Amino acid sequence: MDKNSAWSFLDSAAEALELPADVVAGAPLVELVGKRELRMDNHRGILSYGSEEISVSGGRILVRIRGRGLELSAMSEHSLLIRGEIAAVELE
Amino acid sequence: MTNIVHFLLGSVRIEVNGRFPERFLNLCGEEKVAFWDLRRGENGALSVCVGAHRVHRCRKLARRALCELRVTGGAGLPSFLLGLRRRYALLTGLACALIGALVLSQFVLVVRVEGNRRLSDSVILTELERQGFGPGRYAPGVDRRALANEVLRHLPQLSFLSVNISGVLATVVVREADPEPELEDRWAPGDVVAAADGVVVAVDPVVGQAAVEEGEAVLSGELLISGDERQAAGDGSGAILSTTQVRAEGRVRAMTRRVLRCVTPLSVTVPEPSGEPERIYALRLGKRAWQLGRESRFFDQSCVKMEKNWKLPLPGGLVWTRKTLTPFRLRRARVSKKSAKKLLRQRLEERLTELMGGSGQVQEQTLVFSEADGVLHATLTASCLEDIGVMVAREAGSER
Repeated sequence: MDKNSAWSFLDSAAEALELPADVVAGAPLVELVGKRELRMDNHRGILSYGSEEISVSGGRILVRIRGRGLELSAMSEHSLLIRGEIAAVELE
Repeated sequence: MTNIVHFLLGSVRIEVNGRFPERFLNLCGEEKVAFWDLRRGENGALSVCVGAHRVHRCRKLARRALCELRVTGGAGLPSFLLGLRRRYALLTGLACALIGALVLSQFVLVVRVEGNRRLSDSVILTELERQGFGPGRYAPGVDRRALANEVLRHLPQLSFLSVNISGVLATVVVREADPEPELEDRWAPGDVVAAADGVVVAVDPVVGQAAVEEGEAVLSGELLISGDERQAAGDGSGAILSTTQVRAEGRVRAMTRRVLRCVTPLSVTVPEPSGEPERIYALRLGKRAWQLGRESRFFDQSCVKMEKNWKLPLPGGLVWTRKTLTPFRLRRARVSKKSAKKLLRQRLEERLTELMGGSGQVQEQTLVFSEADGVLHATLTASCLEDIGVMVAREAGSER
């Protein structure tokens, strides 16, 4: 079983058992506080950084934050905090 | 709070340049290296602030991320202090101040006395100075126990003395000795005698035998209740079988006549300012003092001077003092006769109350004023009903 299949299985299991996927499957948890602060747990690292766009890896998905004056305020192994004028959050 | 911590620990701005500078950020996140104020440079490099102590760690992380790290600036206390390392005059001054503070702190500059009530500070400080302890004394060279013992030996009014030296301040804590109580032998035989002249109104002996009767006139010092208890023979012959010496007790009430006199002058000398006050400034360090400015013009004059002193403690044990001298001349002023009479009346009545004690009653009193040679005389004549008996212990072996 490759990695993607394992995540998919854990996702499905979490959904079936009505358990939080971020805890069971380690799925990324994105929290938006207003339009000036974004918190993300279970990230897999920053892929690109700029004041207008920040791309963060969430494992199987890519979270792209667009806006103006974006700034990575804090970052740890599992969580990060982005501040600035957030215009859009895209998932790929 | 975070800003204060960053300032105290110091922070460094680094620039990370390479193919994947974001990889450096991810490594920082993994390795728990805190960073802040992240900016993207025009050349694609990332510029971040990290703690000054994490630079070495960041270099390793940058190498792992295949990036190049460059320190572009520093901020905070360590950077500020490092910036001063070439200012030799400042460093020399700082070192001198530090050495001066270290050396001066070894000397006692202020001596404070605590715990005294009856004995004044100046008496204790004078005795301490006589023993060689005072402002300017090298503190480590003071044998505090010997000093305390010597002072206690010379000042018997003190029961305890301790010298505590903290920096330039010496605190002398004292405890005063309690005065020795008068010892009274409550079993020693004695008699009750008259404390004043008078006519006895009532005799009430509790212990001993009455020596006077009601209506009898007595003089001061005369025996009222004898401490000799005689046992008479029961056959009516009047023969004394035995005599026992006891401590006589009892109450003898008598009519007395008290005559008290008091005088007061009707003019007094009062000071009056005769010129402008003058201020003299001086700088004091320990026992030494340096006067600033010219000598006082009042020192040579034979006028009366009133001094007022003011002190301002300065760093390093220095004290800035200001002495204000005001010249005065004396002139005679007349006292109001009414207030003089009031004063004399008050004094005489207080004296009479004191003489009679708590149980005395004034039956009749007259107060006469007369004036002679600028002095007001007052004579108080009072008839009083009071207890005149006082116990007088007998000397060993004596008998009345």
